[in-house]
Amino acid sequence: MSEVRGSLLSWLFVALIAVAGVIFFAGVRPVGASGDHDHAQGLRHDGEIMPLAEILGRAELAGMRVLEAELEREQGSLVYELQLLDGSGQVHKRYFDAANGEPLNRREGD
Amino acid sequence: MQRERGAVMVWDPFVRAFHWSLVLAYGVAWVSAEQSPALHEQSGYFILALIGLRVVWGLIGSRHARFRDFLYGPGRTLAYLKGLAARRPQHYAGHNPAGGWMVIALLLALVGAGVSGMLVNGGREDLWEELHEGLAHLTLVLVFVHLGGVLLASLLHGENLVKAMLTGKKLRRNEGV
Repeated sequence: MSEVRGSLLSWLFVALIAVAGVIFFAGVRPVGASGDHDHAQGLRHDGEIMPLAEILGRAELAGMRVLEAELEREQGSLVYELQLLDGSGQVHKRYFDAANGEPLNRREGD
Repeated sequence: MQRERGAVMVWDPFVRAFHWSLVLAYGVAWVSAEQSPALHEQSGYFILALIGLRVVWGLIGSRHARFRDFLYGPGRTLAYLKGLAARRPQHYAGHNPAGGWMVIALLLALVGAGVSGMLVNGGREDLWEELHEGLAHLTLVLVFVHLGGVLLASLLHGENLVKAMLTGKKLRRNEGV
């Protein structure tokens, strides 16, 4: 009997692995690799820009799918340009200052 | 009562699921390290969660999953290694003493790699990053020693230990069970 109970507990722990897997990997969105990927990696490594994952992890972007992610230099500062798909299927363009992650105001469809 | 050589359940479902999830997650963490920071970080958190569960299971889990079952003192460990060198290692139903210490070494190296990875700040001279990479590489070395140990023990005991970690079953012997 205790063997059966032990086995049930073991399966419960297996289920906990599955739950942990969902929790930790469901949030990972595929990020389109751009040609400047290595450059962006270098900047990130040197602490010049924030990791894109940090910006994507924000609550305001929850439920959005990343269609395209670009890192661009505009007027001397680095900007993340994101194309996001929301739950209702609408596409949004959002801009963030790559240095500090501040959202930048741009027109929709800019 | 079991016969001398019947197959007996040694690794419970959690031990096996943990083992192969860890293999997978470590592989993902390794491959994504340069390519995808998000995936790399999440696989690191997942590994720490896995190890957290394993530590709890090592205290309350099934017989051969418990730390108490496979942590042996230096005397037993040396005796096992000598037996290994003489090609006549003593058979253990659960982890042998060398395997037990390998479990501990792998868990510690992975916890160290995970925690130091969380502390990486991306600065120019980031000591946490150095430590993180060092421990990740140490883990890889341990993995290869582990594979070597599994191969050696499998050959000397005439038992496929990789299969045992999949099915959970090992051969029952009269010694050291």
